[in-house]
Amino acid sequence: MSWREELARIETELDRAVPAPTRVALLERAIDLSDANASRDDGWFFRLELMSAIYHTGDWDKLLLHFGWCIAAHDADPERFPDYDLLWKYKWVINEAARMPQIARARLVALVDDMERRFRGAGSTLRAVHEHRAIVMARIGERDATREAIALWEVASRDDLSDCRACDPDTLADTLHLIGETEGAVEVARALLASRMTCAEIPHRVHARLLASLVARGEHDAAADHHARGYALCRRSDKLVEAHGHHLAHAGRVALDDDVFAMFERHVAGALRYPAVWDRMVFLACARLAFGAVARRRQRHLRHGLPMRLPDEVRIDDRDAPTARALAAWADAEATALATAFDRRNGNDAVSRWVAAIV
Amino acid sequence: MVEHRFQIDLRGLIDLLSNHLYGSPDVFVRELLQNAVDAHTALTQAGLSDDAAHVRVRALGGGELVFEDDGIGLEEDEIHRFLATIGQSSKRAVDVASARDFLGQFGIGLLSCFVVSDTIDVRTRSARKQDAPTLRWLGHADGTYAITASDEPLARPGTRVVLRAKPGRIEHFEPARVHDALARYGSLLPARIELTTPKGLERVDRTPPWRREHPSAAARREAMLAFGRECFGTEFLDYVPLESRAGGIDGVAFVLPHATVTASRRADRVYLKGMLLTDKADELLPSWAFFVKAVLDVRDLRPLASRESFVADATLEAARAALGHGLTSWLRELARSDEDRLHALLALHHHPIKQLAEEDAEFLALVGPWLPFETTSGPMRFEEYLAKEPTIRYARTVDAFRQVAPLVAAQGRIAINAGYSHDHAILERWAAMHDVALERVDATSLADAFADVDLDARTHVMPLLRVADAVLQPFRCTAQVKRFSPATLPALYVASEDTAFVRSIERTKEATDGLWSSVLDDLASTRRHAPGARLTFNYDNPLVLRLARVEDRELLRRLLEVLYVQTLLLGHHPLSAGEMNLVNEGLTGLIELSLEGGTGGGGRMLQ
Repeated sequence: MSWREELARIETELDRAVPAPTRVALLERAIDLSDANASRDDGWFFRLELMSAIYHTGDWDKLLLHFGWCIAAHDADPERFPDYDLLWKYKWVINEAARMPQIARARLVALVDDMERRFRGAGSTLRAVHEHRAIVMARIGERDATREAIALWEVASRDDLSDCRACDPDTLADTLHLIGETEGAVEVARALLASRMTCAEIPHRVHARLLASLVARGEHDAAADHHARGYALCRRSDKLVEAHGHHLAHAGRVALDDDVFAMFERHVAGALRYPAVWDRMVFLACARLAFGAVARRRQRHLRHGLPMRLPDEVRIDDRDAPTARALAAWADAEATALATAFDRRNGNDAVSRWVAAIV
Repeated sequence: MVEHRFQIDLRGLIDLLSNHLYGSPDVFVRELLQNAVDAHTALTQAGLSDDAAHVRVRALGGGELVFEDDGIGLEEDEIHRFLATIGQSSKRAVDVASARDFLGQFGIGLLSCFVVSDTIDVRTRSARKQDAPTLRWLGHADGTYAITASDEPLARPGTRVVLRAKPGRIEHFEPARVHDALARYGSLLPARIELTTPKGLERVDRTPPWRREHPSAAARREAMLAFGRECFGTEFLDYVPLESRAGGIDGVAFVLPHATVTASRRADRVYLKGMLLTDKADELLPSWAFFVKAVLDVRDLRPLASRESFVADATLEAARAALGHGLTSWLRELARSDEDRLHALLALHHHPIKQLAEEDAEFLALVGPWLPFETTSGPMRFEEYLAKEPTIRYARTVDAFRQVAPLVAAQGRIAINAGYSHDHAILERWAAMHDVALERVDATSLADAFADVDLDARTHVMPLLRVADAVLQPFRCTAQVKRFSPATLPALYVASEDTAFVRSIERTKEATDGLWSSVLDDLASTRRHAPGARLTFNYDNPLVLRLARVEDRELLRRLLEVLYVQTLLLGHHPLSAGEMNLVNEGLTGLIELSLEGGTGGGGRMLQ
């Protein structure tokens, strides 16, 4: 079978309803074939499709890789490879790059500047640019710069390249949460839930992020409600690693000890594999919290009732029947190591402090 | 201080409601039906009737619509209080139990008529008193109304509502349109609904097929699928009757005739006590049930104010669980009694079935053997695989599968492609449940397991390996030698996922510059520590043995350059610019050498 025949077969397969990870595998194959046979048009087309599929699987390192190729193709030949679709995806790129500690701080700043330059070139309102500058500044621990960017973001008018009315407040709540403005974050999140707007991942992430604040305020019934509804929405997704973490932490806080073990077992492999290290760090910090709580309730020797199946990366003694304390210690070490990696990238200790405050 | 009252602009309010609360302009049909049915329920509760409700609708064209019921009717003070007060409802009964009998809990329903008509002309005669007078309430869209004694008394207690179409809204009053609206909203209502049009009298209400008796199983199936065809315009594959005590739900789920994906939103048709609530319900069935579309009648769940979805409370969750249980029971029964139908179902819907199997151990135990997988020996059912292989060997990614397939096949073994979403989780679970060995295979582990060569052979090929290392070094690859089948394969290129990714990055960097080159460098930084790729020579291959005897280093270098790239190409690995250069240089070099060498040592070795 020639490579063109194989490409045609792949396209037919893609037209059928296939789940996102399968699409990614098929599209990667198509890209390899296109590249091997120097067909840039095919390479472009399949990369755009792949990036859209990656939105559902969370393979963000691949997103950056293929986005790089596309942006270079556009710059070399803007007529043949227009940038409109890329501008939208630049948002995902920056959001996820900020969550990877290996992407240097200077690079992140330069990426937002590059995004701004291209958005201006396209005649956009820059609302999305300000939003993403806020996201980057929050993750590199620059509170003042974050607040400035938020102020610009909130007043910029909306256009086709801005995030939708559901995603925007969710991102705002997340960003406020990162710079320690929890009250504001809770208000925004509650208003979003009350509006009943939905999107691909809204309100999934919103429920998760509210849990800690609600418990801290003593709103236990509300917290239980958000836990039940939010977890049902997010448990099956491979991408919502942070949300898994928050629900796990909640189970630990409210003494749902069986759930702590079950949820950890269910989600840890996905969390350890997830390319955005930030999310993994949050998950691990939440696991530390949850198992720490279990251990403190004079259950430090509590093991899971049934043998656990944990991935190899969970390096603790007696992995088949681990104690809460051992898991808490392991999660703590891992989370701290990742926070340190972010600190090194950022040149400050903002992330370590933020992670330590997850209690 | 003088007290004022807020002036409520009724037109403005109606506009607001019709844009934000009512789903579509013909919602007034639903509201009128609702009022009619509720009026009858009130009659029954007052002990004044044993019969079913009877609703007569007349749509004779000309922009007029008449709704008539034989319910409890209204007395004058009731008219003032309920018809004209927004938000108040005669149906807010004192005890909660009977309140549940009333469909309409919110008094804003009648306002929906103002979306299509400037006047609402209501004649009503109360059943509470013998010889009660017939009263006429005439309400206008500007918020004014008048109550008079009707000059056309009703023969029986009940209510008659007459609407006249606003300009621009006359199509809602066309007989065909009215019929469609009545059928859509009310066909399942426990009421006798009759529509009179220029074509004559027609019954609109029907008993749904899951509540009817059928002469045979075949007849039932026929009726159910016909119903599905009518509701959704689809030829469904199969049907599953559903029931839940929680929420008081009954209905049917239809199996879709085409494959679906998780991402698609559910759109079930849901009725509340026989009245259509929504065609887009997505909360009543579990998320893995995306291979069915359901029609459900709900008695005991609380609707939201918009009356288009339900309050997310514990009863709803219990209902969802019960309905899901109905589907899994059906699947189990199918597995037990009708394998052919199950296989047809699996062929089409293996994604949701696998998703369910991953979550539900019992279900996996049941359907596991029939799940279809892609293997190095073609597609096969899991039970076939298990019959042939004592160990479950699988490739974790599609790419790994592709790389190992020829090797595994050459060894006479079979491996499963578990690169698709739920497959490897299912294999893990199965292995744990049945105590079967599970082995992950990838090109690296397979190559590692190849047989080593003995000391003599190793000495023999050492010069070859040294030259190979020099050729391969710029490409982050090292050479090694093993013996493996097939013997026809001279070499195998093996790269870990990290190394393959770094290769992709480097290839992409050939086109980028400046900022994005740096970004890609950053991206690669965490993976560079991974061991590089390996080119594994096959000592069982004749070409390799001959290469080992080549003494001319320059010649050997060129030969290896070409062999390296050929190995990449055969493995469908895309080449970097450097590698493409290599094959050019290699071939050019070989041509030059053979032209120089004539019948010399170098030329002989090229045969």
